[in-house]
Amino acid sequence: MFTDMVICNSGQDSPDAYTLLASPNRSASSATTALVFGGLMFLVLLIGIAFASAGAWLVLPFAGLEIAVIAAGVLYAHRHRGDYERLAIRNDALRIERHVGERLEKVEINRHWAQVVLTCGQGGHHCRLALRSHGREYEFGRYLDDTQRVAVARDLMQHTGFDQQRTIPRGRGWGFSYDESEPY
Amino acid sequence: MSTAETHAHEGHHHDQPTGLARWLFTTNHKEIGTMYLIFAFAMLFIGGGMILLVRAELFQPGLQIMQPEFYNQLITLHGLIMVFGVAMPAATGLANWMLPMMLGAPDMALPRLNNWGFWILPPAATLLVTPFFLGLAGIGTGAVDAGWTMYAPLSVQTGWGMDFAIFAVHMLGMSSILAAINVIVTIVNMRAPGMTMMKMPLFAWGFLMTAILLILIMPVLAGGVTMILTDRHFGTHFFDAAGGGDPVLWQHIFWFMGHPEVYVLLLPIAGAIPHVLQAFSRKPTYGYKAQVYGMWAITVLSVVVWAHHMFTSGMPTTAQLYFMYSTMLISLPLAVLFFCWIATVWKGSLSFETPMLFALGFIILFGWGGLTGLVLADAAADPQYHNAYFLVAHFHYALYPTTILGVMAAVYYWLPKWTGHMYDEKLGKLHFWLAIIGFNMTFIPQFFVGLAGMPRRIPDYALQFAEWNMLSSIGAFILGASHLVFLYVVIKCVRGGAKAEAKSWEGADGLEWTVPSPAPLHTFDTQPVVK
Amino acid sequence: MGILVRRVGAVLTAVLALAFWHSAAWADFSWNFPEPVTPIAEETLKVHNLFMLIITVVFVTVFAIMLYSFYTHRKSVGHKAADFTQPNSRKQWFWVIVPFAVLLFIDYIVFGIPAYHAIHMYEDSKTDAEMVVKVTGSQWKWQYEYPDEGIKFVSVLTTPREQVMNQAPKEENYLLEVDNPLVLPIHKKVRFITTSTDVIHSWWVPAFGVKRDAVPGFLREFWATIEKPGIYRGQCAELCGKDHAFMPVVVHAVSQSDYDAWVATKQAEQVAAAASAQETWSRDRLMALGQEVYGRACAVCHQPEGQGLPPVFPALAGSAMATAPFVDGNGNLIKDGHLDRVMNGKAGTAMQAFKATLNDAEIAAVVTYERNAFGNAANDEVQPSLVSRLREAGQ
Repeated sequence: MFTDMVICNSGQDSPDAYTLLASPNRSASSATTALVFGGLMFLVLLIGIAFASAGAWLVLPFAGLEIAVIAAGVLYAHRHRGDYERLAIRNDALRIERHVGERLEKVEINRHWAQVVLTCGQGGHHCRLALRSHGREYEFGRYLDDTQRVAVARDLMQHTGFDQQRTIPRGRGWGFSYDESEPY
Repeated sequence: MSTAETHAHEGHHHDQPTGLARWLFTTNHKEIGTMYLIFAFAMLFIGGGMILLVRAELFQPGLQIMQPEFYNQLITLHGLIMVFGVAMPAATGLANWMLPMMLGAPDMALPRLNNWGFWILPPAATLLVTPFFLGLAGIGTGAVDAGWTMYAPLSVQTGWGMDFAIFAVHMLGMSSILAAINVIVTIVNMRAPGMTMMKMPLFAWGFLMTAILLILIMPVLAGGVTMILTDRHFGTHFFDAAGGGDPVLWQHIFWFMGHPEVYVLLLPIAGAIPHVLQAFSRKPTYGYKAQVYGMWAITVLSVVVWAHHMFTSGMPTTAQLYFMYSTMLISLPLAVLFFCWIATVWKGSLSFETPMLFALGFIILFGWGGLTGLVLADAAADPQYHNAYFLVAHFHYALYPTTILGVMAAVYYWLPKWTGHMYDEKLGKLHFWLAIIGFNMTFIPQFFVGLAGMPRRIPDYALQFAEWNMLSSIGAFILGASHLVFLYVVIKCVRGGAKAEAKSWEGADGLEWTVPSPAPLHTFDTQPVVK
Repeated sequence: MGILVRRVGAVLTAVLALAFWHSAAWADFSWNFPEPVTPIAEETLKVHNLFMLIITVVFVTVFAIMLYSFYTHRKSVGHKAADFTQPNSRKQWFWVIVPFAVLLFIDYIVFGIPAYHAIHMYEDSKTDAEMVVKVTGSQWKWQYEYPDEGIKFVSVLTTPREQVMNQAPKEENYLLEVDNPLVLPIHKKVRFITTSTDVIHSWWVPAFGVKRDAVPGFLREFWATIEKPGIYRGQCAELCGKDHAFMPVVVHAVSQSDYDAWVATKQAEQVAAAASAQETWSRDRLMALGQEVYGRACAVCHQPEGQGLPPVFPALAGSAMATAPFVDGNGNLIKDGHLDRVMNGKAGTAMQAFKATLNDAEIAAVVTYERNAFGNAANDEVQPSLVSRLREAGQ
């Protein structure tokens, strides 16, 4: 997904070394959403009531059903309005926060033990970014696109317990493959 | 390093199932778009094949190859299939493919819903035509045969093909509503940063209007067909005067859905055509704002004019006057669109590749459809045209240019983006000219035979109509053949051809031309920003 | 076959004529409404011709402008694209507004004002109406009733099946010929009232310029004043099931004196029929009339040999109903018995109430026939007097 991405990279040694906030692009405000939904509901009900008063009352249940489906769609979009992923490195702690719908997941790992895992499919597409610590993987960057994931991976490697001797590919960041079995 | 295999079974969201499962469960807007288009095209051949049988029967007077019962099934299925099985899925397919690309969004807003929306269609279509084939095999009374308008009480009286049609209509309606909700949420919520509503591509505007209309009209149709069902089997009397009902109530229900339906079919095309015109005129779209307001006006007016389909049903004089004058008003926003289309072409640097030919063919033929519509709006003259072949010719001049010529323009225009290959230009042009000749040869005679007094929906006719009908039948077969050419062009283009560039047309403009051809499964590498 | 060859010839010549524009080749083709014979039809033709002229001019003008642009603004001749996207000067705005003003003028003045008067004329069926005809549509026939004259009859297609199935040459009025045409006097304003017994039909005679739906359970009306004697033909214009194509309308417009004579004959016929209904009929006489009525009213659905088209149109041959008793001990109709079904029909199906369209003798005869034909052996008969009595009793 696309992202409003805010990165703050203050250098490797400062206490607030790195923060990243990523949230999917949403072009509608709550007010717009409410207006669109309210407007549609009003018109659908108006038409339903008009037909019911002309004797075709069976239109009404279908109008109601439709409003329910629209409401579900709008609610789904609305619940995910606040979705974001946040990654913050402060001192030795690397915190990952993920807010999906009503849920907030938080995890904190030691930055020196964290390992960046970037895996990509053929042609460098479908990249997946995760941090590995103590045998567990924490995926990150769901709202980033492939280029951004590669860039973020590059950033993170500088801040984590990664063997910095290995060079990181330059260029657009894809067009070649990363292999999970061969961590950087 | 065989990385692709390594990651194929990694699970998570990068997983790409293969084979049937891939198409069954895909939530990717491009794959769903492709399925919609293939479905629409398959249905075009079924619905078209049926009407060719009809034209073969009408080649000369007398009953040659079928009985009236069978004839009525063919014309009914032709109407339902062309409207619900071809025109709407084709437009939805275009929307699925192009909307996210044109809006700069990664996918539709509700991808799972999108998948359901498509997969309701094939069972619905199967349900609709099953009684037809059962009937051919000698089981039951055949498919629905009350005309696609399904006027009560004929639809209450007829065989169980009608029940199948009712459930099919429910499913088709549900599919349309899911697609409509998805489009609205996508357009409202997923536009690229900086793309305000008034910077949105016209195609998105057209489809937004269509989606709104669908949401307004579909519950009415669903309620209406359910009332027919309960009248048939559960002893209600919605449409039975003996029980206090009114058969004409069905006509109001049907046309409250049916008239906006015409614009449901038109608006996505009215939105797509400016993109084609500006590309081949190498000149920006004329009157963007006027076109947006025009579409709004059409949308609003389309839901308040329905009863002009019912001038012979014996409405009060004041109602006839109202529906006549309000119908005439629609000519104004339509004229705005025509004006803008022609002004876009005017003083451009024109070239006439296949998409441009189809777009111009659409404008000219749809123009004639619209003008003849003005005549039909006159409530006093209308009875002379109504349910005669003049009407049949009129609405085919309105619907064929939009739903077929318009869709063809869009398909040829974006085909390089979809397949990564240029199609065969010569064959594309052959397709166009065959379609234009076939179409006019089919429907010009129908204007005249209608004026002479031939009613529609009859399998056999008086001798004075014979010559025109023969001409019309010959035209219909040419028209049918033109679509075979199209089938060949598309297959050829998918399989190979000159490599298409990211910007496949010199004058093309829009976000979709910034990504490679063929467009990768996931469109954008970076979030596009509209300035 | 000869006709087919001739017709293919005509069509081919017409196609060639398109290329060389030779008007004689179009002789077999009709181009416009039939000659109007009522005020409404005249008005409609006038409006239609004006409409067609205007929209053709609009179409040709716009098409010409487009063709000019296609030719002049070609890239292949190096035309450079302009980049205007809206009117920029007062003069341009003026030329943008003009087409819309013209369109509004055409819509609401040129078309709108005559249409307003035409609609009022079309709907005014009551003022100065001189006679009333009730038109009842049924699957697939028209029934005409003259309430003031006490005349009532059914009008059905007479074109033989062999012509439809191409086993006999088609005659001039193929599919447009009936047994009992509607007879009307000229120069009299006739008020028509339409209704239907089953589904919606639509009564249409192109030369009259009127078409009105016949809606079951409701009355609709329209009018016509025929100004020229002649035979006028039309068809049902609303899909009404299987034989929608086979329920034509034929109107004989005659002078007042011819009309009066026709009324007198019809009335005498009806008196005779009523009288004979009170006689006791022999089985043979009932069977003879019954066979004739069956062929006219029942055979389309139940088929000539009574085998029906199940499940929509049940078979009569071997039908239990057709041999079971039809009146109870008190001489009342047995509900859903044979006679009840024929007289009162069955709601929700194509089986209509034939007491509305057949007279007493015809009902008695056809029921008798059905009970004793196709291998059915009820070996009884229905007397017209019974039907007459049941009818009086409102059954």
